[in-house]
Amino acid sequence: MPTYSNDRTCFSRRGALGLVAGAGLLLAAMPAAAQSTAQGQAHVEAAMRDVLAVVNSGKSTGQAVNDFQRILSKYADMAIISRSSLGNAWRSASDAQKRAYVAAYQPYLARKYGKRFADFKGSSFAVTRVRDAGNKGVLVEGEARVPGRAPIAVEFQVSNRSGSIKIYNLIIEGISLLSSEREEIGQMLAARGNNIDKLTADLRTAG
Amino acid sequence: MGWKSRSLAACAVLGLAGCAANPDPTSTVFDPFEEQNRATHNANVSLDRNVVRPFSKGYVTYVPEIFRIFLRNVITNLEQPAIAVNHVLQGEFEDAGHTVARFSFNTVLGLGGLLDPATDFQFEERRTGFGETLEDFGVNEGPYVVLPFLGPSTEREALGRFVDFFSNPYTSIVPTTVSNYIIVGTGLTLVEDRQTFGSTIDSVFYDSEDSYIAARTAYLQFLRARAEGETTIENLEDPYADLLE
Repeated sequence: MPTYSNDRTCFSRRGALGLVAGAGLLLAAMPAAAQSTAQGQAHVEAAMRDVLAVVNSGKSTGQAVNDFQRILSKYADMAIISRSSLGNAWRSASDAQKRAYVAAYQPYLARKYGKRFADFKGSSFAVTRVRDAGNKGVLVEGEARVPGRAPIAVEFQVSNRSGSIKIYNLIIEGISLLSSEREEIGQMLAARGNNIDKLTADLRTAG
Repeated sequence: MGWKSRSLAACAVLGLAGCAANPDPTSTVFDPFEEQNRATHNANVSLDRNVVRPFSKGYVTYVPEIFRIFLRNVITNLEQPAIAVNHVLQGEFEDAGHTVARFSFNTVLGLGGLLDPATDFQFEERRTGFGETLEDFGVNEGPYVVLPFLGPSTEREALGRFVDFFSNPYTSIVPTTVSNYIIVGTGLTLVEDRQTFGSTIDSVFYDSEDSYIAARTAYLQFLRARAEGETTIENLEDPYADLLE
């Protein structure tokens, strides 16, 4: 993990700008004060326990995907993740289009990532650091240990802004789920002439 | 190099985007050779489908695990001196000492690197390369390039890989026969990697609608996270903020 030292952050992040930003974050974070870093950590640990139970169960891919979808709706804010994946196109969509998209996107995401579980059989997970991220909630960092491999850095963004505490982003070795999904969905939408209905229909069978 | 000058260098490398609050990491893709890159990417995918994937399946199925572990340990151990040099060049002396200790430990007590007792004694591998050293020196990441066989890279990282390959003493000092074995051995560990993360690579190569974009997004995010060193709160995405707009 500590391959890269912490001192490569930009000067502005440590200097006066950082202080100003910190004060701003503190004010903005007031409504979220009830959410503690301990709660964030406990939420991520519970989610990872459930995920690893599926990964290590040796279930078929189909069963694993079903279980994973249940885990996602329990622990993750799928509404905001779905919304974010559509990027700017979300704003121009009708309510009916939004509902249909979200309904198609959730199982698509579960299929896409559930399929990869086979690579991580025998894995364990441990939280290494938890940070208060102000109005962005809590950042929980951990290491996934896969037998015979270098540990994989996994970070979770957790927030209670949906009304209850939920995971809303996952960063694996620096690769953000929200960014990757937005890029890929954006490409798929462009390939369909920005037709959301067509994209939604195709997502039902994709992944 | 003190942290201040290094950080300023990092600012210069990253440009304003790296220092601005909440940048969209996918909005700063510099890919002027996209047409050529896509052709190379397609060739790589087709090579994977027809050769690498089936071969890696066979390798993992038919070659005993103990042989694969020994081979990986030896190859990894041989890479450590060059890694230590890069840590020194980056001014990371603690990492350099750690890597030298790891190398000595495994070479002596690990029977010439066949075994990896160092990891059990908290001397885990701290991998780096000349690409990261160039980044530390302030060299811009450069345009995105897809390398034949090796896949996603940028101009700076490609140069880094090239230097890494030839700066490894075992590829230049030892007799050609021995260095050929090392090259083949390194190739076999890459083949094994292909199988170890099989379904993840499959999903990028074969399940994504545009596998070129999927690979490019993942690679550039990975590279920028490495430059950043650790995730900073300012750079975290905030999808809820859009709700308030």
